[in-house]
Amino acid sequence: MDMRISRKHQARLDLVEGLKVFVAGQLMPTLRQEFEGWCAAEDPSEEQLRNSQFMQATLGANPLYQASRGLQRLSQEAMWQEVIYGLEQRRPDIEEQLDREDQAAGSLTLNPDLMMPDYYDNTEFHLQPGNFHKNTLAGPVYEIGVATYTMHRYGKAGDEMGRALVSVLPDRHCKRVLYMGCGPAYKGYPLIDALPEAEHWGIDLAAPMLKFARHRAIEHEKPMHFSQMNAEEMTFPDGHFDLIYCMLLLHEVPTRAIENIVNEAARVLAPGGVLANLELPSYASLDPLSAFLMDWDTEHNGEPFWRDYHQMDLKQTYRDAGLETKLTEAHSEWGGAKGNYMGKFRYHVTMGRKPEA
Amino acid sequence: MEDNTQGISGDYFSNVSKSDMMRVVLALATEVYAMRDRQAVLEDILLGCDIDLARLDEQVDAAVYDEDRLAERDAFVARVFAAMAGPAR
Ligand SMILES: C[S@@+](CC[C@H](N)C(=O)[O-])C[C@H]1O[C@@H](n2cnc3c(N)ncnc32)[C@H](O)[C@@H]1O
Repeated sequence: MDMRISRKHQARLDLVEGLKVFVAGQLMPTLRQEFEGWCAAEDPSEEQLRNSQFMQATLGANPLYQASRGLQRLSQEAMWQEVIYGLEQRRPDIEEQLDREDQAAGSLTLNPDLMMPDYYDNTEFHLQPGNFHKNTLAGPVYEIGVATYTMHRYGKAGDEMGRALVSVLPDRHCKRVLYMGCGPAYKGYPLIDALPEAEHWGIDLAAPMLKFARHRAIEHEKPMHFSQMNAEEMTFPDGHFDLIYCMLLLHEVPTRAIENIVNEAARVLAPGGVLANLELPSYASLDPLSAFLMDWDTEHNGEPFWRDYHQMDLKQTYRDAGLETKLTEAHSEWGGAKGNYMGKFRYHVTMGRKPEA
Repeated sequence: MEDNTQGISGDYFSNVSKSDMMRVVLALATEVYAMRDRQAVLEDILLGCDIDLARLDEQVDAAVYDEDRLAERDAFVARVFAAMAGPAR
């Protein structure tokens, strides 16, 4: 897909990304150093450091903290604004490409009657204007936005999350594989490469994301079937898939929807099949400052369900759905050596296996 | 964690010194002015040599990783925002 923008627009976007690099690379390490010095002098308890009111009282008025949060927020707003500004100039051309039908391997099935859940319809996740489903350009906007948001640390193909997931998957023959909340789906390409014999499916609520995903998959010769569905209520028969995975889906839905999705995945998994969910780590597994900074996203980065997700006991939800479960960590290039806006981290992969019948 | 809201009435920068903010603005204005001046001279020189300036408005692949371009950009941002990176003065 031709996603070019003018040199001028790219320069504007570069600058916005530069702000994110500045926050992550300069402000955060200095803030962390200052905070550690303060901890050494004041010796606060672990309980205090895990209390957000205490942390807010300690850091809220700190100019470095404020500069970091303020620039993080402004850069996020500016990022979407600049991506949309750049792509808007080419709207008719991109829409025409997205609407073009293609007979290549794989398929696309849209459902114009699908009801959007309120939690989804009423939110602009990570501040993306029009969310995933209200702007026909949402797919390209998301892909360019994510490359900028993650400061190009997702690897050149943007697929490092998929590679991280592949690195921890059990070695298992799969006939059918499902990617829930696939969005543009390119993070699933490493799974297609790792399991080339399987039939790969992707579902999402958003038609614009799926149209883009289909287009992109054809271009990259990754045969995949896309279908517009709610992961809480899929139309697949029982026991249909050997592997079901998702990345960055569960933190964007409320707890009751997570329970529905896990139950639904357990239903469509074949006996012996595996559910793998890759996300950022839980607060409890991070140092207190990183956890506090990460929690900031809940109110300030359009992530209303972020806090609940990162504090819930997902393994228990898996067990309640009848899955045998374990938590694995996977290396993150995005959160690796340099750290991102909230520090360094490894991904958490919650794995569940449906017992053999 | 319960609440992680910011200072007063959503002003993210309420305690960041205004002088540091103005240092950022001044650094930026200086950069922009020097660049505009340089660009005007450059375009004059090029037009004088009968060179087509269409490349200035060409389309490029969006968000492509290019280490040189991004390193230059990082240095630029660090220079402009330097005042915010240290302890308050
Ligand atoms: C943060 S994006 C992640 C996309 C993709 N997994 C990635 O990492 O690039 C979340 C995606 O989940 C989709 N989504 C959210 N709630 C959903 C639901 N209940 N059923 C299906 N898809 C959903 C959104 O439309 C969006 O494309």
